[in-house]
Amino acid sequence: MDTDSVLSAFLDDEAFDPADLARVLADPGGRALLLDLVALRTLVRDEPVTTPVRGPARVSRSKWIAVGFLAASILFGAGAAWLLPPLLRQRSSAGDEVPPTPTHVVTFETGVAAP
Amino acid sequence: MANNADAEALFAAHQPGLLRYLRRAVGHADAARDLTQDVFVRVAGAGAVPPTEDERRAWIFRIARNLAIDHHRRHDVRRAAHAGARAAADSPATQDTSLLVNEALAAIDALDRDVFLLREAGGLSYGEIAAACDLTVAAVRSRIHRARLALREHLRGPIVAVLTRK
Repeated sequence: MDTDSVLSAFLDDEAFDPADLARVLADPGGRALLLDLVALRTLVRDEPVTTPVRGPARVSRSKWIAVGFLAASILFGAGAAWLLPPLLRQRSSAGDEVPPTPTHVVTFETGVAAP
Repeated sequence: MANNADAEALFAAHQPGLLRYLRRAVGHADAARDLTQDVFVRVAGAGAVPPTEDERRAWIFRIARNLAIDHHRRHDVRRAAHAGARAAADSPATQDTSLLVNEALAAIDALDRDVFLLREAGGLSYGEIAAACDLTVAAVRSRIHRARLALREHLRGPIVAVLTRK
């Protein structure tokens, strides 16, 4: 077995003798090798980043429906605010009229049957 | 035959690692995607699925490795011609690091490369790689390290760039 293959076992989270690792890392060449292997791992695992091409931002159909509903609500509210006061005024002025005169009066008395 | 639920579960669990492994093994993203699909076609059509997770991983990556080897056999002539044309056209400055990595991988011993990629891209343990490639664990460890030393020689420039970038 290569003595410095302990570095690979260390990098790969596999079993190794710590004394072997200590021996390899005691040497500057061993430490440099470890750094190079870490960098190599970065190179091999790095995938070219491909960002999906996005078109201009689009508003979804549900958002359009929500916006339409909000606009309709505002219009309805404005229309109601415009039309209701005259109607209420009309109704309150109608309330001022004298009630009709009763044609007959029905009274109830205890023990007497209704006609 | 593996049922659909089993095949889908296996696909979900192993697809990212397989794609990474095959992408480096064949050096082409589209081919890697196709081969990943082929792996799962074979898994779905297999007579029986190994019982343990470790055995399943080794089995699936063995299928992937065999497909990658077949792919290399079919495309070697075209790849060599393509590499020659590209070498003539591109300066080192315009070659992207991923391409350099693929070229370095193509230059090392085939079995060392497979063993290395099964670990580095596929994420398999030494035991799983040993099962997938019919090797001993000691041989796997030795081959992975040999591959790393060879790649270190091929990729000195990019390695220094990684270690000194800010």
